[in-house]
Amino acid sequence: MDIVQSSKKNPGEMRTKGNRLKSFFDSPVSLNLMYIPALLLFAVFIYYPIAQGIKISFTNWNGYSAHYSFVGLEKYRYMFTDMRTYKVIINTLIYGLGSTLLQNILGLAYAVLLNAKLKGRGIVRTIVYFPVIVAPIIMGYVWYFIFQYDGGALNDIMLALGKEPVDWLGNGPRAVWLITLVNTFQYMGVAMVVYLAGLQAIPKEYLEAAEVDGASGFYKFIHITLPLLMPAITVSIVLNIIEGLKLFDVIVSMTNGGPGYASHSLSTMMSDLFFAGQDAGFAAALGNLMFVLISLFGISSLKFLRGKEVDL
Amino acid sequence: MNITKRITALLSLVIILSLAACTAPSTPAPQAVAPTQPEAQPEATEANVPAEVVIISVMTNRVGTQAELLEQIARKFEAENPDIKVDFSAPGADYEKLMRIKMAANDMPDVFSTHGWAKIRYGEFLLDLKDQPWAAQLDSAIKPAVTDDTGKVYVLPMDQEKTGPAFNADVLKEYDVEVPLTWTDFLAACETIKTKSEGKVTCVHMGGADSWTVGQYYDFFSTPLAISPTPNDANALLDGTYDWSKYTVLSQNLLDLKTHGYLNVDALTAKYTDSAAALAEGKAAFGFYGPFICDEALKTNPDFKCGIMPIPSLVEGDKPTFAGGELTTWGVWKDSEHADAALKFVNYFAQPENVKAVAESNKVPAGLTGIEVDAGYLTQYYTQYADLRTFTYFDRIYLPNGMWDVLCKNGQDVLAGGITPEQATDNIAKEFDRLSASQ
Amino acid sequence: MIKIINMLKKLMRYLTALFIFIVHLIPFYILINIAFKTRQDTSSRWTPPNALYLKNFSDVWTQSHLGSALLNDLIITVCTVALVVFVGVLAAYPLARYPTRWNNAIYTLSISTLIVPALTVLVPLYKLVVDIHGISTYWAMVLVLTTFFLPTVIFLYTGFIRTIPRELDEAALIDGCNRYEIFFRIIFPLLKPVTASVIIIIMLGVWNDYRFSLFLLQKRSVQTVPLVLSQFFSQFQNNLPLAAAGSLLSMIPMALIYLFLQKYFVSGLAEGAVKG
Repeated sequence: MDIVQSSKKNPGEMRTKGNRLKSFFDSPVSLNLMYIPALLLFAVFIYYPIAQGIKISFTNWNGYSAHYSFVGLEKYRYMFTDMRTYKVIINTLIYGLGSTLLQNILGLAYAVLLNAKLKGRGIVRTIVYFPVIVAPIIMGYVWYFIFQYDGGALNDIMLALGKEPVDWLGNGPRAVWLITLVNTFQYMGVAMVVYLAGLQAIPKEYLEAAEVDGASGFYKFIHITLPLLMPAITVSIVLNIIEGLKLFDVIVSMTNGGPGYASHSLSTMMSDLFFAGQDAGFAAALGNLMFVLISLFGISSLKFLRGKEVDL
Repeated sequence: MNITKRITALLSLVIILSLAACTAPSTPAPQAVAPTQPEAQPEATEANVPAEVVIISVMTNRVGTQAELLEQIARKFEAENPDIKVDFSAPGADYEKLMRIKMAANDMPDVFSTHGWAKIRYGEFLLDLKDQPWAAQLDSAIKPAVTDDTGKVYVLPMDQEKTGPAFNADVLKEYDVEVPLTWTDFLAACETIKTKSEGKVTCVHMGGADSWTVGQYYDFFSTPLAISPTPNDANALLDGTYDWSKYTVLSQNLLDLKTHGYLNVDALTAKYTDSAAALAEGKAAFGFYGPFICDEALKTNPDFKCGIMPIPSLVEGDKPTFAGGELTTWGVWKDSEHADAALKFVNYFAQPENVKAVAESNKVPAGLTGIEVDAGYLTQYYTQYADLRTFTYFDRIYLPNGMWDVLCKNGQDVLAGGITPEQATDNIAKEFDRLSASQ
Repeated sequence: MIKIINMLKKLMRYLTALFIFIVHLIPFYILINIAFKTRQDTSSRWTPPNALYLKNFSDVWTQSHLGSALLNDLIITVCTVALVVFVGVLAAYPLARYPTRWNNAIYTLSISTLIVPALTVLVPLYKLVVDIHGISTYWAMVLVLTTFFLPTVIFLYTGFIRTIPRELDEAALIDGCNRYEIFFRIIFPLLKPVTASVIIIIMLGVWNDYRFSLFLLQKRSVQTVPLVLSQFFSQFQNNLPLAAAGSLLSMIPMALIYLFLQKYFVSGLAEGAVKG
């Protein structure tokens, strides 16, 4: 430690002419060069297009024609006065926050269960993770076949139980919750794996010491496991919130935003406005709203959770 | 250390593979395909392609057997024209999305299909084809859909739709129902089917989750409402003086179908393919679709007896009609750098045997005159209704660009009970004005 | 007495695990059923096919040139994963180690890039790729995918690097290494476990990518599996058995890699990003 301190105290020793370059590479600032490739990629493929994209929200472009004109804030005004916008915001929040809640609670529960020494836990873990591997368009059809009114798997069960078949996705609010459940089912494997890793990272000594002191399983979980899991929780929750708020594929394959506009998220509505509604300006305005909304939730949850992390 | 070694090995493998693969030319497939821009990047594998070969990109919205047929004809064209290579692509469901983005970037394929939107959507990107050899042979029914007042010919229509609702002939026979020619008869037929089958067979099946199926209903019945009767509102629509309150009856009729139990319960959550399956399995009698559903239904049940009827009339004394318009077309990009090759390609498809083949694959009339088409199991229906009029799809002539989606969404909302038929009409009228103004 | 309670507890655990297994198996069971049935078979989704109709698999292989699609997918996935891991880990190091105000801003910027919806940038991005002649090329696809997966990678790596004790850096400094040498010689080797995890997460995202591939890979010769499978779905047609068979086939490489890396996956995360 002393040597380190002394070399820090005498930086001047380093800065002879021949050592300028060397001293640059010794300083932390030089490391900033390392993220330049990443920044370049962002600048070219994301920020430049975003700037263009923002421009679109001030036009009445239909998405393909070479002719359009500027309309100022017209599209934003339209967006904020259209009742659909608010319904869709609520849906998006349900998808994002609802999925995240369920995925994390279930993911943690699964992880705790499958962390214990059970035979065949590897297989169960794998099957839980599998939906992530299947192409979303295919999984979408599988889910559609489960919830289909005529001949769907769920309704077959209903009939077998002697009940009437139900048009599961035909009711707006019910469709939104079903989509949230499906999304949870799809991606909870990711949360599970993150928590499995987190659980395995907890030094056994802490838990054993607590047991010696007579702590119950529940107490151990609340006061030792959970706090030490905070980094895992942060990662899982932040990623889930962002992905959940951006939800797109599951909605398109199950209901395509229907019935009517009942189950649209900001993401699917944006796509519908652009491709079907031929209103690129409105779509772009909605996209900007979506960005602001998700940033709000994503970044604030990140800051909040990081603050709760416990240092070992 | 074992783990570390393995990961290192895996990473090295990954990096080596990626270096090898990434420096390889961009097309590993046997046929070397160069980019269509003349300022092509010189790649080693392209050396064996003679410099004069022109490559044209061709895209179509068709899929399945129809796309295969088009590609077969394209390959024959290649064989007869060794200096032209065809990069054929049939992306499927997202063709329209892809085309929109390409239009936005002004990066169109040399030749592409316009699926009914040649004038309204793709118009500004299409080369005028009026000087091509086949331009004088356009069938009179399709001519208005692919030409305009200046005489510009937008696309080559190889075939054309002659469409009305489809039905399951066996179901109609079983319940002793005649093909209804008026809306009143149609409702009566539905009542008969509903009663006699005790609700087991749905009269009309609609796959409303695919919103276009709802729009199809409006498109079909707008003609008997406003265009085919005498007197009619065709001119009123064209000069913007149409009284939209007349339009409410369409939404009302749709809602009535639902309330009377003539429409499938899951009309809003079922998809188009469910309609095909329902018809094929005899669970539904009618569908507001065209011959295209026959093909799909037959795949589920090869014994399915598909029938086509004309659109029932709405106004007293009016005769039923067929809806017509583009089906399989080829248009040429006006900024194409290989316009000559593209035109050759299109003209090749205009040859009688090719037009016949394409039309027969869809069981519809040809788009050029003088070509006999064997419509297979649909022939009897075309013959039976041979003297009925065909009107181009309503929305392609009388509605401004962008209205299709408005009809679809409002129809869905009416069925969902979210808005009344009157409110739907209000929305439609408002959008009509807005979109007409911005054209 | 305690033994019995423990045995009961274990039994409960096994039963719960079994229940979970069955519930999660359902979508797969249905998918497999569809893949082995013919198109004419309209029996319930629950009933297995009478005979294993293997033609779906051979048909989808030949009709959609699945072999070449798999190869394209493999090439693009390998290149993208390699590139995004390399650029990501490089970027993560200074952001994790030296949280200056400037660096923190860059970090937040990277995370917000994760939030950008693809459609917002789609049209201008497409135009850009057209202008640089990148349509239907591997390199453009790889660059675009890398850019969009970079935020996740940076997020995961920064978390992990923060858990590596700084003393290692200091010790290396004393030994005379400059900052870059510290990174490459000391830190980088320690990142192997988490890299396995990152590879799995990114790999699946790239392999199954559709929303960029649809627009950027237009020539059939470079199309990947999701694109090729979507050709069985159109507005008017829907050949689900073929598509189901195709998706089962294309799952095999990913499933194999996942199983192989699974050990490292879980332990990688444990040794890294999620350690307290």
